[in-house]
Amino acid sequence: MHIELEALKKRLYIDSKVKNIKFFPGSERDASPDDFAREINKFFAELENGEKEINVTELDE
Amino acid sequence: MSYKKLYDQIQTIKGKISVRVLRDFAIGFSSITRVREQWSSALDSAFMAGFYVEGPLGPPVPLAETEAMIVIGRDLAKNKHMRRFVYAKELMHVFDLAEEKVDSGEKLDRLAERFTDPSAELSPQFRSEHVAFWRALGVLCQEDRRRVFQKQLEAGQMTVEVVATAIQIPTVYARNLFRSDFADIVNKIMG
Repeated sequence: MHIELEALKKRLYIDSKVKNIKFFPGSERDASPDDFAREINKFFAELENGEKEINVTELDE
Repeated sequence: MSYKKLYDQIQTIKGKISVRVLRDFAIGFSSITRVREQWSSALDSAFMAGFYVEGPLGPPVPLAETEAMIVIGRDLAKNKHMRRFVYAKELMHVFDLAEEKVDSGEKLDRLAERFTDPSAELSPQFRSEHVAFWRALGVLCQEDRRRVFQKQLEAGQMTVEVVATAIQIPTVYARNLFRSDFADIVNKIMG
């Protein structure tokens, strides 16, 4: 049972109807599908705690 | 032919291509109307350097149907070149075709599986990850500039490390600009 992957799928496709998701895996070669999903779930959990948005492109000026 | 419009536009820029400029042009040439960005401390970039998601999405990051979001791991802070490349590659997904989009749990299962199991089915969704990689390379260095670099490399007057520094992407990815089949690949991903 992929707990993280199932939680992410619920958020993206049952609670919402997102049209696309793609990703850039990190350097960890033994990463599993649940590892990918966990990182994305962590991102949403952080925002739910009130983390502020910081624009990435502004850092490239 | 949306990517081609972006590619052609980029050729007219002199010098460094900022990801902000890439973003603004990509929005102009795609059906996406806004790209939200998040520089997140939650991502462990050993597992996930960044990701792209297209609405509609509810709270905590509401996205309308035509809006997208790119999230980059904040632990890439010390690696500006990697950050630029990951952002540009994810941005290229605004040009994904309908059949390349991961719009169901089943397609997400297959995409995640293929990243971890090279023997798994090569889906249109996974193929689009490769296309986005090459599309990012195609717009992070103007073709004229790439040819100048190539001549300098062939003459032994330049190294790939210096090219990578000049265009601000990781050396490991910059090497691909000088593959003998680079022009063929760029033609194939031009749609």
